[in-house]
Amino acid sequence: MTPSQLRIKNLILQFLDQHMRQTGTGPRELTDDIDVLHSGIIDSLAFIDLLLRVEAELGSSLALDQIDFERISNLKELVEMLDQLMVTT
Amino acid sequence: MSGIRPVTDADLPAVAALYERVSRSGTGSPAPGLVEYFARTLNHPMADDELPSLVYVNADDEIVAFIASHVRRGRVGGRSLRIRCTGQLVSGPNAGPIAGPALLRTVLAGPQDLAITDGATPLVVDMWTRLGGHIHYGASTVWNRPFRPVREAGNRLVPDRYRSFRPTGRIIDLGDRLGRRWLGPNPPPPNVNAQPMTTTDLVEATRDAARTGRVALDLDAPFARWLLNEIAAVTERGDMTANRVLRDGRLIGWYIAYFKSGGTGQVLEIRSTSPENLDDVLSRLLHDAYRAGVTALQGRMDPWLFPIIRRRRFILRAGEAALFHSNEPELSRLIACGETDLSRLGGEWWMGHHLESIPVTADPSDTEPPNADTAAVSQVLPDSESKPKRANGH
Repeated sequence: MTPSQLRIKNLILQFLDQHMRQTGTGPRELTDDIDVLHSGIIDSLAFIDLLLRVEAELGSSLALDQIDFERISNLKELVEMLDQLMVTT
Repeated sequence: MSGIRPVTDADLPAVAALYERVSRSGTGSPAPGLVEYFARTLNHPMADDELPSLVYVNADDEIVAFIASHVRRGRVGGRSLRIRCTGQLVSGPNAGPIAGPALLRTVLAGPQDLAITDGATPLVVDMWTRLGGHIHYGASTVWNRPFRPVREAGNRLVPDRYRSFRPTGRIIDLGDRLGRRWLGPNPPPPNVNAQPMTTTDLVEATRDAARTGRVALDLDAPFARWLLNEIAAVTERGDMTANRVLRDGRLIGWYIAYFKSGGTGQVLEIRSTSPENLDDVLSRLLHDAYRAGVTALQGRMDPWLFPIIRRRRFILRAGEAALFHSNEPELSRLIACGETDLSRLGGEWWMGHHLESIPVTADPSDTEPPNADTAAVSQVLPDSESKPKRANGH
């Protein structure tokens, strides 16, 4: 995992931990295998919040029109996808 | 590879099937006419290839989500505006939480000057505001002027699909007749008359009424004809009535509304050529709506209506949200401050994709819209209904 991917992963884990506390859906063990998008942990609004958090922390925007959701079945793949979609601003 | 791309005509059957499954019957077989309705509402005279509707497709190029882009033209001062009215947003069960936000964000990041919508659900409101959009609070407020309160209450309590269970009969009639003594609208001054409005009338009136420095809809004849035809096609909302209002033969304003006998009338636009004329235009509208048999008249609180709605003490409530988004702070400021002439006419609130009967129309590009004749409609009412003995309402 590259430094950039590691940073994104930490941001996602922080976000999910906070989100699960706030919504009462946690605690849950978050491993690289967890399917963040299809396990019901986050909904559309939480996904937007996650994207905005990642963008704000990394000072980049995400080219969401190119997101390939079928290639995201676990946390590791989500991290790789977001890293690919980063557009430095 | 999955991702987002502009919708094509070949996609429309799949788009309609997805919409049917998510927003209508729950089946995957689109209602008769739905594919054609999507085609008509997306491929209109102001459609813009740079502001397309979008689909989200999976690796097999199967459509799993869709967002409609209804393009409008506007202006502010001497400048033309590209307005993108976002409409139907549907996401299938396999799309997960990504597709909807990805589509909306792609649309809001487009090359339009201003994005709007006016029939937003709470979820869409939350998505828009997270992505930099704003609620237009005035236009998200609905005014209501009841005429036949007992029947109107029945309509509100019992949804349309159970309409056969709505209370009817002598008690309802008696209640409404008693209510009419206080709620029947005063007739407009005798020199204030209404005449059917043609598309040319609408284009010219909109242009002439443009106020400096306000964000306004820009109409040309082909688009106005298309727009009025499509509005008229949504017959489930009632009979479209587009009337010029004249005082001593001179134009003082106009209104475009749905009149539904026995149901709630809905105003899409009411405008006057000057603020001083608005009272007479509104009186004419209320009178025509009452005589057409509507139980109550409803519209959104467009900024220019605020003084008169307050004075007449109409009932106000929160309605479907009107939203806007612009990357230009000055445009956002103008809308937020009510410096806008945009009404429901420029939005997508009136569309009928979700309604039980799919709107059908003849070739809208060549024909004048069917305009309800209010004089003829009023003849439907018995004399006792059309002439309140004592009318002290507004």
